[in-house]
Amino acid sequence: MRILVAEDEAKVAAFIERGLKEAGYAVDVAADGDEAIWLAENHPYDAWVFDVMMPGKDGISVLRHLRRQGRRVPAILLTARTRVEDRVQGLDAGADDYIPKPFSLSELLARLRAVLRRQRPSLSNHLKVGDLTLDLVAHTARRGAREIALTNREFALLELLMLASPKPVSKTAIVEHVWDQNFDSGTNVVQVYIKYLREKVDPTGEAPLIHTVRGVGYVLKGGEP
Amino acid sequence: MTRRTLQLRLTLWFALSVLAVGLLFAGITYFHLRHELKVEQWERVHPENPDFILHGTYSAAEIDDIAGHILHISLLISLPIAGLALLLGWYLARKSLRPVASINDQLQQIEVTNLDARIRTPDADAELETITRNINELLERIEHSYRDNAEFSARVAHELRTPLTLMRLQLEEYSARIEPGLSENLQDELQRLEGYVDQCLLIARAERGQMEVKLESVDLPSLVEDVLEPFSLLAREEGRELHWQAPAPLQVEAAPWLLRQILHSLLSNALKHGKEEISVQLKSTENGARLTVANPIKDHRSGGTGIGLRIVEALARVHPSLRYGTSVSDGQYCAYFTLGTIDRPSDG
Repeated sequence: MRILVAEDEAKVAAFIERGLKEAGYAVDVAADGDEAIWLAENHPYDAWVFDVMMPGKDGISVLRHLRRQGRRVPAILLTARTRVEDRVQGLDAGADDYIPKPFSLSELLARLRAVLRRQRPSLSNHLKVGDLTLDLVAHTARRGAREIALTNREFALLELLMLASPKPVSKTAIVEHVWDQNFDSGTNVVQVYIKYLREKVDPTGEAPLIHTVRGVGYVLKGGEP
Repeated sequence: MTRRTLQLRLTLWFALSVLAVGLLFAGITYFHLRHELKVEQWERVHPENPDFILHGTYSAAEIDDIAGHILHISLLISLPIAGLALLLGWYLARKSLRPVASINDQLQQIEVTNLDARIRTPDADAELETITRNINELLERIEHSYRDNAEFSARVAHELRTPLTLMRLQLEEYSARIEPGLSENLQDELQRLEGYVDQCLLIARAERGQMEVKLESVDLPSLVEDVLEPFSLLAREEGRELHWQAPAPLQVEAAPWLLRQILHSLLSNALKHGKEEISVQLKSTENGARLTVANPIKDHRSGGTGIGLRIVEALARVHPSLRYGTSVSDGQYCAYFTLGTIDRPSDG
């Protein structure tokens, strides 16, 4: 799959490019809005990732311009602005998702997979890692034949880990994905939720799927981390 | 010591002035009449002999009687006149001071969320018009200064997001290659920094009045329970209890996101700075609902920036019909807010 990334901060763009390439995507990078429009008009992409604040045409104007031409490629906006009105403006311009800065690469990859899935009905609404299956529509989880009862937040946490799998997800990314409010870094809310999730997903006797990667975060995968 | 009001002072001045003029007039009349009666002679025709003209003077007793009568009447009349002067003075003083009261009322309505409001006194006299203009110019300067300050904070917070993104991406990229303990510390500190940036932006937006508040019907117990869930688990991890009491479903008109943020900050505060059990109580009141978060205070308060409570105050000011307050008694800290209901269910 080919992704177009428009980001004027060269270092941020380089990290996104590297992360997407490592995840198996082909990536083109535009340094400003005009270049993004030229690339989008002349090359087929599976998804666009645009920074909102760019010199020349900003990300919202670029997206609006491309949508007016009838291009339905899924788009994610990256922005330093987090007001509800900014978000509404971005979504009204035709964005499929909106990621506030600062963000984690795992969060971007998870959201990218989600918009690609929404765009292509042929893709399954089920996430599967090992014998663990998550039904995104019915909001249910199963490990093998065993159904797992999850709270909304546990479901959101498991969804993020499965979307990012086999890459680890940082604690910060988890807090941002699962809660609307920011928890003080002194609180161990992520560890507590991971503990409860482990008790449900990895009960004694079953091969553990949730692993702690020290210094990095948490990863969900079938084998050893 | 209570100060006398200007209205009372003006009323007394007016009434005393009227009374003094009346008494002066009565005094002059009294002495002038006495003088005239003493020096003047009266003349009149004899009733039986028209050719005769009778001449005479008033005796001292007659003069005292006539002048005393005049004085008596003057004093009798002066009492109701004094009463009327008081009423008229009160009315005139009140009317004259009405623009001052209006300025006072308008100034009391101005808060950080409506610093663009200005004082209007269309029917004020020239002197008050000057005062009004000066107050408005002062408000203009305060507003600009405040906005500049808030704009600057917001701009700095926004500008910080890009380097924070880069730091986070770099840290996540290299976290597997550096010492795990150091990586975790860096992640925690970065998260703390990001949290401060978010909170500063939130305060700047709330205090600049730039927060869009959309009210909707909210089932308050469900919302509170949802916010409580992680705090309940965190409290249990610390060996503390979180007690939650609520009535049956209770609908209020509220902005859910704001309520969540306020409650989140209050519970974070209770968890960080409190000890032993945290009690969260929701009550249906005559006018709506009252939510209380109470906990014993730690002997030595763990230092905090105070940002959380400032957020609560700023958001409470933004949210219509929400009243927020705190109290401390017997080592127990209590934060509460009240909200108006839109459709009262049966009390639970």
